Amino acid sequence: MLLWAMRAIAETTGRLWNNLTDRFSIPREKWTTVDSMIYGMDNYYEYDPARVREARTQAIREAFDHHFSNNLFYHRYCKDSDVQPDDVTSEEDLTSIPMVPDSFFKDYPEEDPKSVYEWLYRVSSVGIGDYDFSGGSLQDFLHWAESRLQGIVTHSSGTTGNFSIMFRDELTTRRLFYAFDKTLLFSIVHPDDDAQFVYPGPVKTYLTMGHWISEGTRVFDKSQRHFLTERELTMDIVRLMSGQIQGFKDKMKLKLLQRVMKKGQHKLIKLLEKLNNAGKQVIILTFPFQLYDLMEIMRQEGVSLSLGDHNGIVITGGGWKIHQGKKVSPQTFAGMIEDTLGIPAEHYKDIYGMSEMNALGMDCEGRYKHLHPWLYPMVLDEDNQPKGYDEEGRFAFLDPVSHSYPGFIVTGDHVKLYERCPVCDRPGVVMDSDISRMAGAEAKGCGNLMRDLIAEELR
Amino acid sequence: MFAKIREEFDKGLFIPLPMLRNLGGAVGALAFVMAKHPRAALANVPGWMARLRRSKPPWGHLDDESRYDSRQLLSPEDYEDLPPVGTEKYLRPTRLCESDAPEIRAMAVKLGAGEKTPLEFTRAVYEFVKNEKKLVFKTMRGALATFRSKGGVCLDQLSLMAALLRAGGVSARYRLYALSPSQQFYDTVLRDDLLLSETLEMLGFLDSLHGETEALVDGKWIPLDSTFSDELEAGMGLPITSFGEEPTWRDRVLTSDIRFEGFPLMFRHLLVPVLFALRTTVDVVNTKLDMLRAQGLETIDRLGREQYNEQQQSSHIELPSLEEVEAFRNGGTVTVDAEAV
Repeated sequence: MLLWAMRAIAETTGRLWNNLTDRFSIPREKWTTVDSMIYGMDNYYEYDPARVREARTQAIREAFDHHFSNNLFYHRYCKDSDVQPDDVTSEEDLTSIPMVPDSFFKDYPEEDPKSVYEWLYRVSSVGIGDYDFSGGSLQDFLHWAESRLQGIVTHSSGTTGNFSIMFRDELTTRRLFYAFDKTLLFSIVHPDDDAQFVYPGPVKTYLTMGHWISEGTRVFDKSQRHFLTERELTMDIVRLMSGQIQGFKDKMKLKLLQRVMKKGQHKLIKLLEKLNNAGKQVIILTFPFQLYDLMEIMRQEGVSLSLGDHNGIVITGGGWKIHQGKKVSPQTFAGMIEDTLGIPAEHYKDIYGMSEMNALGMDCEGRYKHLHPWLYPMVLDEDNQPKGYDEEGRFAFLDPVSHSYPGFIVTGDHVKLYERCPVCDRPGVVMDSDISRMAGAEAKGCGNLMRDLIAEELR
Repeated sequence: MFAKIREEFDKGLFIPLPMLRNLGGAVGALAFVMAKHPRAALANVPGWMARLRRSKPPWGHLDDESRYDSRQLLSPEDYEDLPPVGTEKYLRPTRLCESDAPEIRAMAVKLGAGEKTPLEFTRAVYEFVKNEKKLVFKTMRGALATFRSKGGVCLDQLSLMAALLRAGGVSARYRLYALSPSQQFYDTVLRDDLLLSETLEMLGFLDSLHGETEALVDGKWIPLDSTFSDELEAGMGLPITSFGEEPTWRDRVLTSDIRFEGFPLMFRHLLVPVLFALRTTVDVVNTKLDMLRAQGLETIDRLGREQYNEQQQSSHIELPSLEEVEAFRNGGTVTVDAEAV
């Protein structure tokens, strides 16, 4: 255990902070190295780079040892690659750690719950116990698996129609939500105790973004959380959204949900006006296209707000294709936010995240994405060999936070990394804002699906 | 008379509704994308002009493929003592599957019909079609024309495989299913073309436009997809598929598959408007495929098929059984020593 990070958290006070620590912290005596980073660092974006690199290497070594020792498929995979924990002694050795493609998490053989359970049992680094699920649907099974893991289970969907299933046990879940909440709610501006959280999407879903928001924002009271709709977004509807029409009934359900969401946008504008007039601090977390739509409606209706006067913030994530391939630059978008919502550019942050990763990249003032310090990011070439900084390629990472699955993953995202931010002085590796999917990688992430739901007609 | 009507229905008189619907959906999406990008659509005009100048239909295929005619592999003696033409369901000739043609029957004998076991004969047919015939995008022309040329679209290759199998006494049928192309296929063939990539994005996946031949061997239907030759798979950086393996250039999508004995009436003409509309695009794709095959051949020559496949499969992750996982978690690490892996 490293002692460097044992400084007390000074500025973080208030009811929301207490809720966060009550809900997601881990007793200090149980901290591993990665916990000392997540729970012990005052600020994820201001630190001593040398010490953090040392801690990160140690955290990744501990995680590697855990998965090697507790996960048979990964153990064999490492042996095939002729790598074991003793071989990783320094930061230079990290790139030898075998990584799993993100598509691996949709490779369960069949969609009946028993098959998915058996797949989960075989790919997990933690025990999930015996199978006593008696329901029929995969959606219900995810609920069962979540209670069994005492954590969070989410899915995303791709063009093949196979869901990618991510499963986090209690330890991983606590780490994830603590880190994400601390980053998003406490590192931009300090939230008031009666701050209002707004997410213009559905949260009754296991789709990653919605489910994370549903669970991660429980630090707010119920009256402080506002969502676009309480309607359920089931896996059947998600499948339908990704182009696989199952039947008339599902088609009607989707149509209804689309109508509700369209209507919900007007309700949301009214809510924002009300919160603005009441002088409440508003925290909006959303996909860029959702906010773009909302701001377009506001512009057409001549509505402009001054949420910035009460320290309002906007956080977006999920990509920059707004509609039909049209991209809006983060700078232009920040200008639109300032004009319509009255929130200054410095209170608007775009984030990079993905369902397999327990870390985020958050904008600095130069719109470069600063990655969480425990993550070891890489850019790979066509042969999956690490490239240097300042080069574009396939994004891969070593994530020591994950306890339930090996968080050493090769993604389908095409990115560019810099060793240092070209604009600000904060330490750590940053990612260029221009992130795209590798050609051929499944295009339908959370953001694309939600965009289809709101913006496109049914196929 | 009723038996004859029944036979005609079995052999594929009408296009099954799901097939028609899926084809209509794909063509509709393509038409939408072309209307959205008229400039990209007009880029196909030079392809029409090149054909009209040579008095060919605008959707026609221009290349001289006579050197690929597989009749060259047969000697006059091969045409002696041909096997009888099957009359039973899945053994008889059907539309685009000319299992009664002398050269098809002669090749079936040359590949071991009547001598090898049905499984070995099926393997030989698979290898022949996979590596003798190439994926070439052109209008569907059936098994015989494919045999006499460089190859054809996937469905033509399936027809040739079915025809050879039937001629050799192994029952064969078609199975169409939905797929999503692999990353390598998307990267090398689809990505750079606006019309193809946007159509795929709209559709999400392709339904009923690809399939496999199923051979009935020892009471079990074996799926066979010979579309990508070894060198094309290697050229795309994919593992080389062997008999009995699932090709990796696509992911199956879980929808209802369509199985049938013979292609329906008019089916082959459905591809004509697509070939017409995308003439230059298809020419570019065919050129790319030739280039990839040349690259793949070089790779296989350099590394050898086995070593190439070993390299490809080293990144494949095998999952252990439930029992192995349980033993491992209970401390039975001995089961995962290198010898067991």
